[in-house]
Amino acid sequence: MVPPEKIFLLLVRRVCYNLNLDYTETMGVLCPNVNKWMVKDMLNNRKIRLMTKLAIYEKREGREDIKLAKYYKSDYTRLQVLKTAIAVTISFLCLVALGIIYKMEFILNNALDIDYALLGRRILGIYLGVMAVYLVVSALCYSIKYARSRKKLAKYFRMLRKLNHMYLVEDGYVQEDEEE
Amino acid sequence: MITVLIEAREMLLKLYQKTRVVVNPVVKFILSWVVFAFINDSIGFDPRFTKTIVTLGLSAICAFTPGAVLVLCAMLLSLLHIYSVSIFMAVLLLMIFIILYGLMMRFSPKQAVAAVAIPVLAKYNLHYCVPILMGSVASPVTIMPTTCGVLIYYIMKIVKEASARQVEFDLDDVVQLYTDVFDAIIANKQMIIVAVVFALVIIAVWGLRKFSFDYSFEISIAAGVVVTIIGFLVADLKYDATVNIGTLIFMSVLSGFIAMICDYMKRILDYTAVERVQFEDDDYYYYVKAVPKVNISLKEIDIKHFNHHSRDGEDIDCEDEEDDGDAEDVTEDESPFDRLENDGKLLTRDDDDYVKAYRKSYDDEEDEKEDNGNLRYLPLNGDYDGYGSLQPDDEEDEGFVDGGFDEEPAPAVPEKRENPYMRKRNVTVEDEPGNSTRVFLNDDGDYEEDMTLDDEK
Repeated sequence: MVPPEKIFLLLVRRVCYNLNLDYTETMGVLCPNVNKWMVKDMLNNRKIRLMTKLAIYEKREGREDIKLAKYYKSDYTRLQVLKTAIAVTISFLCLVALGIIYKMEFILNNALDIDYALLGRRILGIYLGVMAVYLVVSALCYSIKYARSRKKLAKYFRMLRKLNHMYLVEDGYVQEDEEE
Repeated sequence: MITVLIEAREMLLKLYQKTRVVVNPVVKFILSWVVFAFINDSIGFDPRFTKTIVTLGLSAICAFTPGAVLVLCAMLLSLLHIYSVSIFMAVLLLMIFIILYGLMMRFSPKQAVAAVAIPVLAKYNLHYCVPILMGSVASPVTIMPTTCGVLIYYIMKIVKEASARQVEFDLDDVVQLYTDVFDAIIANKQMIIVAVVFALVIIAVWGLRKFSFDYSFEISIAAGVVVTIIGFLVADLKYDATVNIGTLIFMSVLSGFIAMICDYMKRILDYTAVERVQFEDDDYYYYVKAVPKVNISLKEIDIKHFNHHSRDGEDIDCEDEEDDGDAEDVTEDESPFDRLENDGKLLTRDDDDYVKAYRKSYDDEEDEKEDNGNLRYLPLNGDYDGYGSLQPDDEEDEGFVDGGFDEEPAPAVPEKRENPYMRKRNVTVEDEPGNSTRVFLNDDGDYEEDMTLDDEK
């Protein structure tokens, strides 16, 4: 049940909004004895500012950061490295297929003379080399990316804690100047 | 004249702020349309896909989706066109696309548009601006999509010629066709030269951009232009690549200007973007429209910076100096916060202008009222734990993090770690003697209430 004074305050706020008046001043004129705390409590500007900052962060880069935060660093890096490995393997298979088509004439003409074992070893060697480079680089890049998103999240959580503190103050569990 | 320009700019920005929701998709729609029209124009073999309705539909999809979708649509469209003439070439092209995606494009999906932009802009010889722009707004990873764009441009040329050949379903013919295409691709030195020069341009622009000397932004773009010109000239002399020197120089300079304008616009638009967010608490639903203050832009801000401290923050005095209103203490200590320059004049706390200098731009009265009397501190010395605050400290947080935060707990006394606030300029505001507050001016030039302070007390 909404207390009647809150309804009154809401009404005044609405009227002020429509007539483009300053709400706090109007309240001061209408009922000078009203507890200033009550007027302020209706819309806590600091809280709204903080919540807006949080919401903007969540909407923009935070979406990615929060997604990353569901993984441990090692899990995330491993997953990305695995994806890279699969992509590199498929691409390499395509490359080998193109190579075979390119040298098709040669292969058909010398089908019996080719040392397939040597060829296979060479291709495997190149594959492993390429793979190693990609894996190392992607592991590095993705762990840097993770660390960066962590840093941004740290700030986000500080803001969340501050908001939490505001709620505690509002509900009267702690004093405003008390430590969090 | 200058005033008129500034006014015009502010008017445009305000207009953009208001109409951003409409303008962004429209711009994307037009760009997508240009891309699809270009594809239809150059390899529009299949009349079914060159119809206006198809282009319209594809552009409409791309207007509301990220840039990577545009790249995908462009690839599909060109595949379909090639498929209608030569099924073998379509297979070849598909494999090339898979290779390019798997080895290059997937690492920077946000900048994948570069792969499309280069072939399109190359028609007008403006593709030189792509690496300059990429270097100035993004990181060297964009070498990959840029290289992709160059490869796609040249390969598409070869594929287009090859697909005009009539081929029977005969192994010899098909193999011959593929062999010819591969020979043409491998023999194409220009492709490799362009890719290498573009990569160098990206590295040069990005590297210079990283430094923070005056005009580093303009200098980095100029360097990009110079590297482009020199790179192509050297390639021309050494490998006999066919480059028209006059066109090259003119177009490179023009591209430099275009890149500069784009970059400048991007920074301004990012900074002035209106955010609409909604959230709720126990009592209300909030629909907030956050409008950045356009007129407090980077150049015009009145606040004076001082103590532009170094990264390791050793020059910052962060001891517990309790502000007890003792003016002597303050002046004797000579803390770096105690004086600031105003119009070349050095002001101390005793000067009357000191207060004015800050008051000018510190207009958020609400904050001022609330913050008065609280001297705030920066957690600048070593004991700031950048990770510790991530530890979930109650159930709400735990639900959110889902799986815990820290793999390894942060060391009790961490070694020197980069402090996120290191790069911020901080400023002391004193409105009455003995009553001072520190606020932060972040890189965008607006205030930031320092959220860490209460945590660290």
